[in-house]
Amino acid sequence: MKTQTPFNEIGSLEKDLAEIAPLVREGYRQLGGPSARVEEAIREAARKQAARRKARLAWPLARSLAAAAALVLLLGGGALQLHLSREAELQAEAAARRLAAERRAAAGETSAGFANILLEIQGLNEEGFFSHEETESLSL
Amino acid sequence: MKQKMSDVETSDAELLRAFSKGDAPAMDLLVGRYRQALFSWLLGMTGNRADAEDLFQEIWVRVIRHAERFNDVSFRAWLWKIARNLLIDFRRKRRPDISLDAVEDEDETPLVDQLADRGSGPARAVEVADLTKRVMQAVAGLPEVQREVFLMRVQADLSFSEIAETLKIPLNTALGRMHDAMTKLKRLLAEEGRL
Repeated sequence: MKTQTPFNEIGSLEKDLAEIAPLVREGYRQLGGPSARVEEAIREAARKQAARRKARLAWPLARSLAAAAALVLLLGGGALQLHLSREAELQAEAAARRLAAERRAAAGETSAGFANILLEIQGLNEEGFFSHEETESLSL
Repeated sequence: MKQKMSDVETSDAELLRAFSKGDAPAMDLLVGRYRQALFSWLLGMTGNRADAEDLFQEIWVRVIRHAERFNDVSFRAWLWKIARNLLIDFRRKRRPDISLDAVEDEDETPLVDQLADRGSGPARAVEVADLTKRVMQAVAGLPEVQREVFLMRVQADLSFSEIAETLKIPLNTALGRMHDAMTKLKRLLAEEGRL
């Protein structure tokens, strides 16, 4: 049921309360507080939560450090990659150059021999002619 | 050097802020400040030590988890809002109401009887102990709504405005319930020749 009476008598209530409240407080005080087990459980919960909060507060710093470390690794890795690929490129170029030189040398030898044969066929191989002549005169 | 929190100088809100930054002992101080008042209120509302202990722990764990959310003017009022909400949840799960004289199981002594024989000294002390016991029985016998307001004023030391706000009732309703409770308790004390 709703109270219809307006109460402007807080002062009078407080006066009566001053009489009764100490008895009530004393009675409950005598009944004691929560057990040590409960208080320890609360302390433990507080410790864990406080540790989590500390970790969370330290998180931005850790994140910055991790980001910096990742950047360094990325740059280092990139540089290494560039270096390795450049080295491989140089080795490939050197090998290609070597191969080309060998091919050129081989091609040079082949074409010189072929030219001599052609000259001989045409009887224009002077070197062959003179050597032959010399051999002939000696036999006479 | 970081200065240690002093129990006397630091406000509740400051302790809660310190805890939010990872200072666990700040919560110890806060629990210590409200230990007896909150536990007494819970004993008065549940009439049972085991339930009062469960609720006491649950309330503080809630405070610990939600410390960062605290933005009320009064920590005391916030604490009792949490306490009352958890008490309501607890009752929904358990039985509808238990009086101070209720017995949890056959081995457990009723709370009021735990006060017996405490004043076994001089006659005056015995008289006071007896009166305390009778007053507590009378408080336990108050209807739930009156007991709630009465104990919030006496144990939690909340103002009537804070009580009204916590219970989400008009101020006059809170005052009315208190008036009715006081009338019953005064009658008892008058019968005892105290008022």
